[in-house]
Amino acid sequence: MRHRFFGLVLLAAITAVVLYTGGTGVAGQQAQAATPRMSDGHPDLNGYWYRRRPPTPTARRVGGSVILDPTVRDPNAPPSGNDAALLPGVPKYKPQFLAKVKELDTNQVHQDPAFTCGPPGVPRIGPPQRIVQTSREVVLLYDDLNGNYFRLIPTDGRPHRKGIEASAHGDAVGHWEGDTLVIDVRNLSADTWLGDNGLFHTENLRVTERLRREGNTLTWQAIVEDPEVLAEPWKVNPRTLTLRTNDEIEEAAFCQDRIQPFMQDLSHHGNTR
Amino acid sequence: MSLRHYFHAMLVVLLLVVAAAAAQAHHSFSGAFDISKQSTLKGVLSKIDWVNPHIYLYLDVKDNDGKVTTWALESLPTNHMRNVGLTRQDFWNNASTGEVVTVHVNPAKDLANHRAGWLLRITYADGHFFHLSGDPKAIAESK
Repeated sequence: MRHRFFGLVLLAAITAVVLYTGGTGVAGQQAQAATPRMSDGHPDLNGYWYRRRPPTPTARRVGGSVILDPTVRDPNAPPSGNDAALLPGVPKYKPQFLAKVKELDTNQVHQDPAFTCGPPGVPRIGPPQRIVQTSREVVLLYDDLNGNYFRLIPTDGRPHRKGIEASAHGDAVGHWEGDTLVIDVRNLSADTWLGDNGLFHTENLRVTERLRREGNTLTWQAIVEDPEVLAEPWKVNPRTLTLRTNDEIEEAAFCQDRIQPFMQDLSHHGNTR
Repeated sequence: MSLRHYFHAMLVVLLLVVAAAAAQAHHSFSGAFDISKQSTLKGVLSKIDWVNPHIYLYLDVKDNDGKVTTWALESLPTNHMRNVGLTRQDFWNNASTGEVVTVHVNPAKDLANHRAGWLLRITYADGHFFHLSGDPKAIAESK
């Protein structure tokens, strides 16, 4: 009887996981849709791509009231896998830098530029939310918690620009490998982090992103190289986005962190995009 | 093997999921707010700042001696509000005419120096409310 009960718990757990993740049925159907193409034959990446981050608790309306209930999951939420799968993962640092990562992690509240509304940088900013594509370039737009950011990606063979200052989102050029847009990002400022938890980098950071549309889903992948501090290239967990029609990104609200004066200890939460 | 046993098993799993979700949610503001405490305040909204990473509502609370103290109430990011269809005006409601609202908050850890709280729920004069954080069942209905 006892074993049977635990067996039932396991069965229920599996059921809960399937319900929680929403399965992949709809995503699978969307991937089967034809991939629209531009007149030059490349996949059409234009659109508002829903990345479902940060997660919003399920809301229900009762009369004039609105109840955001973190204990209930919206069965109609777009399928994007579970939240854990949306996390970027962790790079492997060389042993001599582990102490620095730990120290920065402990003091993230004071040390992380993004915690106080600074630009997230690449790859921390995550996949784009809106793409504008022409035959010469692809423009990536972000409605980020910290502000609106844009990245201009030439795809007509223009080389990296020279003589410009390093910046949070760097200088990028793109090219097509089959149906995949490959973006080479350089000239990234060392002021940003690769992610939460003290993931610093140097100005020698180089990031390669890949965007691929299949039907109405878009996959974003990034490989991070910083051989001075990382033991090996870091493959950021890929993200799958869904096309969101009849909606548009908005101008981000002014970002101003006001919680620091209230803080009594250094505990904090992640700011994963 | 009965349906009743399956429901019991499902209940165990759901409780674990709920506990995990609550723990994750609480982690986010535990450095500033005391999640073990819940306070109830009544007052009039004097300002709303629709800013990231968290919106702020300012509530003027009058004590028994008539002295007014302004509380800073932190809530969710603007895009969360947008996703659930709540606007700045929805929160403001009839504050311009002095509407008294009731709020449930996790108070700031440093209340001596900061009259601040993490907003769990705001209830308006006509009884409608916005529940924004934590388990809705953990808050007694306000009138």
